[in-house]
Amino acid sequence: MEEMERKLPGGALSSRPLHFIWIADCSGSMGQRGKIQALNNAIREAIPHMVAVANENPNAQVLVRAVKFSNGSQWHVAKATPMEQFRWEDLEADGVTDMGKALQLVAEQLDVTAMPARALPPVLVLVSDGKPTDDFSGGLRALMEKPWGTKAVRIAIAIGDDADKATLQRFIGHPELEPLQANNAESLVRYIKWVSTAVLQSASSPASQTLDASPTTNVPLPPVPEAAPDATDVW
Amino acid sequence: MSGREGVAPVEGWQALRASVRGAAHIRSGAANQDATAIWQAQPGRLPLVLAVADGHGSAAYTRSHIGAAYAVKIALRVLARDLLSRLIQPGVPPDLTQLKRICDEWLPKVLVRSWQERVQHFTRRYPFAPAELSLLSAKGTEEPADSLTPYGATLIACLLTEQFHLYLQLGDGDILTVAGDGTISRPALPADARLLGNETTSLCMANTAESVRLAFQPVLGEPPALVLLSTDGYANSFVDGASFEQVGADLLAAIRADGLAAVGEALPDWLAQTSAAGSGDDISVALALHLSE
Repeated sequence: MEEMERKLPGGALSSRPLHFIWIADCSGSMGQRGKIQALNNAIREAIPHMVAVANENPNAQVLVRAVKFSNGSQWHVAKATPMEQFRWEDLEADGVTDMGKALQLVAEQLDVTAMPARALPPVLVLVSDGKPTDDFSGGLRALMEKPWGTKAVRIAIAIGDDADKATLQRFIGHPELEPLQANNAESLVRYIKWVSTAVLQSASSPASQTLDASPTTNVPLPPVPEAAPDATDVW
Repeated sequence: MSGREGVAPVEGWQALRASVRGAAHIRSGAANQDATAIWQAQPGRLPLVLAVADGHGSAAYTRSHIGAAYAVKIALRVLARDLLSRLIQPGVPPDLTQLKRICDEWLPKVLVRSWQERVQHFTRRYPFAPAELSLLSAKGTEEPADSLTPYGATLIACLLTEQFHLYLQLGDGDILTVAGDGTISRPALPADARLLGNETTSLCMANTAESVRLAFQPVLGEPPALVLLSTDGYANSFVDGASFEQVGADLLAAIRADGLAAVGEALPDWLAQTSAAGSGDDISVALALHLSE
């Protein structure tokens, strides 16, 4: 049969957006014993790995942002940035731990008007070394009131023994998945790389499932890596 | 694998279906888990039934392609045989009010129960392998050996008659109707805010008949020129809803210009290209066409 010369039916095509948001603690304590610099290094080192994962999954458009919180909360990277254009500017540590305000800020972006229904479940990664100093419950409530808040893959990394793991557990919202405990720079790198690659990979190509399917997360997660052993730099 | 089947070219109502494996499924080695079906009593005439189903892709749904195949088969049986033969008497105008009530109260339960009985029968003939049972045990919410989960699938179907059009949907996916002038509409199905991201209602869920959404539309004027059912991989491939809805008008224009057979030949390739540049998911469509002269 003669081949038809006709454009594809429909309007503009697009891969499905996948929003990945770092939520980073920049309180004063993060400035102690090199924690903030370790976080900066770990995220910066993860970028090429994230680009590789994004390239392997052309049907997901990975868009990255970052929120920082200390005295209040601000977008560190406000624009949802395509992975290949994403650059990391160093965070600096100073002030208190207004984690609730950070969740409020993220919640504003999880409305279906800002993140359409065809998007893939977003990935939210909360990194903290301390206890919230503001209304964390209010921030979490605002987040979970958004449909994409409940559907999000929520991962938390606790830096050091002073991190409030109970609070981070509430953010995750699933008893089966605990906060990742990083007590040294090597462990932090390992966990940041895990969320940047393995979790991003799972979130980039999530297979469909029923509403009641996954008791742990909205996207099947790969095994969590072990903390780095024999590290000398202990937080 | 892709497939296409066109009903013989005749005047009046015609139908077409196509299903392609998604680009991401090709990369991962996953099969096409969608299914489609068409039933038409006589060439060119109503009644006509269309159905598409989308088997879930996550690991626990090891038999979702079978669940999807049974879903469309049962939709055809229930709509074409049970509903039409039992509830509409030849030569007697149907009581549309009563028919609508029967559809609302009876149809979802019969569809879901029939599907569940069919897949349970399949399980008795072909019990789950140890690997399947292991996945179900990990899920931990039901008796693994009797589970419906491996067969999980969505279902969209429509029954088109001279007097009424009935649309039903369980889970994600889309239904478009296109008027003769190219105007796009969607049947007035109740919204389901739970359908977001990769999660959907499903034939395999408990109490799922309550999640079946229906739209019953008496035919008062000119019927639509085109009715299109599609799995969610199609709409998810476009930047927005309007870009997807343009598919309806473009297909109608293509069929008018080049004929149903030619569009049927081209459709699998169009769908494959759309998946590759869009969602990466399997895409399946079933459409009914009414060209009035």
